Amino acid sequence: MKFIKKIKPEIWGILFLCLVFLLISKNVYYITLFVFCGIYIIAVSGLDVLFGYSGQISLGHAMFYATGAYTSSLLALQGVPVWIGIFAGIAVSILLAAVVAIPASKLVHQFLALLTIAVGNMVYVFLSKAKVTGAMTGVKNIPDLSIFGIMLDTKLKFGIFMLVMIVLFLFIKSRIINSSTGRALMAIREDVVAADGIGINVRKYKILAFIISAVFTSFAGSMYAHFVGYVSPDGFTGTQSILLLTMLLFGGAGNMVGPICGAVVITIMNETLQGFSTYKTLIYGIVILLAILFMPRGVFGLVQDIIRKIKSSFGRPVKKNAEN
Amino acid sequence: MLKIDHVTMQFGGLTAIDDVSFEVNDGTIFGLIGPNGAGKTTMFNIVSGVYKPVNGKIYLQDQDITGLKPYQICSKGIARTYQNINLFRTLTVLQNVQIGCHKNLKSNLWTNLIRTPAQRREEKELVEECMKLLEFVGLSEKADYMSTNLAYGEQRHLEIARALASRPKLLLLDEPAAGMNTTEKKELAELIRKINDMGITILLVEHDMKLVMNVTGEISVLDFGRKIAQGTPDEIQANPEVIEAYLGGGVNGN
Repeated sequence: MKFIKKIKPEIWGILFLCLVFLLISKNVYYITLFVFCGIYIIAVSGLDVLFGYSGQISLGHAMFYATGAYTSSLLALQGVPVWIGIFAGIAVSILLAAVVAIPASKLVHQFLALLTIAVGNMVYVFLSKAKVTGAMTGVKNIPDLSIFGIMLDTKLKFGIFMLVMIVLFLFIKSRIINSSTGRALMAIREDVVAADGIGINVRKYKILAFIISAVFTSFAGSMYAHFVGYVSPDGFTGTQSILLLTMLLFGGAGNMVGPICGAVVITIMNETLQGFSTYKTLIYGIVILLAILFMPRGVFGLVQDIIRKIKSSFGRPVKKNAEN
Repeated sequence: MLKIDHVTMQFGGLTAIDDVSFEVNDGTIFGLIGPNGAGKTTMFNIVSGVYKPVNGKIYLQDQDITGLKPYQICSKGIARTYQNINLFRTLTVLQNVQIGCHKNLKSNLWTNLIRTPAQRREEKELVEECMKLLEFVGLSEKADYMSTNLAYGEQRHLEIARALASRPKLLLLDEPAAGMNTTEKKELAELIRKINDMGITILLVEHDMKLVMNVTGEISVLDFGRKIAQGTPDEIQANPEVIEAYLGGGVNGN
């Protein structure tokens, strides 16, 4: 019984996701939007492992997005099988994450923010100047993905593939956070001194959080490159890093649902606001401001609070549990 | 169990601990007392690896542990609580204790990802063990509470449960009775004895004289970073130097 109760919301979530996909599967524009949401869900969930769970901020996360996108697309253009390219992208991101995290694990708050901004900018400058990355022109004609011999050459096929990937990566994330590894990360977020004192190798887990986060974001970057078929440095500026963090804060950090909410709402908002290009930034800014002022725990936190209030107004005892 | 060998600690020009030596025997409850600023917490921080002493050595069961990192010292079998409660605030009571077990777990990132049968079994046993510990400190009914929602005294008990979860040989308690009322202090004294009965050696820093004199078998007195006396509670209470430095007439009043 307990097992069924535990598994239920996740199964419901997957069914809901499939239903949404079925409803939109006739419309190519909606599928495109779905894929972008999926890419951001994976990227933001990765950032959540770092920021929401281990409590380390990254204002340069676009660097992992970029390494994934560029490595896999450049290798694919050289004739390397696409999946090897994607895994190479992940490997390069892990390397970059380790290089960033080894000094970063000694830093906190504003110093960590500054370090990640600096490295993020370095990656951007490299992309926009280096010959190998095509400088400002970027990389064109990136081949389509294929899996088990099936070419994902239509939007619909890619959409189905994305659906599976969203579920897979959220599954991986939930396994990581609902285990000793996740608990160690949360302990570090809550109290570094106590975590150290109780036998957690803080440095190791801080670096591990960076690496896990980089794997997610790098994969999302590769998906982006193969879906759009074109990458240029403009997509990997500091603005992109801020966008990822905004999605996370808007949705609510430190849980499974928040990053999904944030990624979906902000992706759709960005898209629908394309028509109001003059006021886009203004509307965007107002939404963020409202979110920060009235939803410090993001959309998901707000929904949780509302549900709790409704439940308590019906006089049912509310369990004071710690679902963050 | 624990041997402090001529330890000196300086912060800039200030000597916080000056050539202090003492030994905590296996299975005892050892008290460390002294007026404010005497260096008790500094001593704790040295033993638990937060500070590295300028001079001297720390031995745990004849093994040199001087200069190890806190998490390494914990894995050698020393657990501690904190003077100003350092719980994992937004995690549940149960999770706090589970994290306490961290160093005893064999699972790693890969086994957690694959959920190997061994990992599943370990997680199941972990919950059982943690619930037993919570029962031991009287918090089993509040396992699902967020730890920050506990009452003050309960938070102190949770810290002890978390420390015990690491299955220590030596437990360092840093002012566990601070902020507690008389009833809570009595319960605490009971708990400390029960922990000691489990075979865990205890090093206790405490301001509450009644508690210290009650539960400890041997006491060291620090004053301005120097050890001025050591002995049984009765000897300490009768020691004129200690009375002058710290106790004043207070202890006689008890």
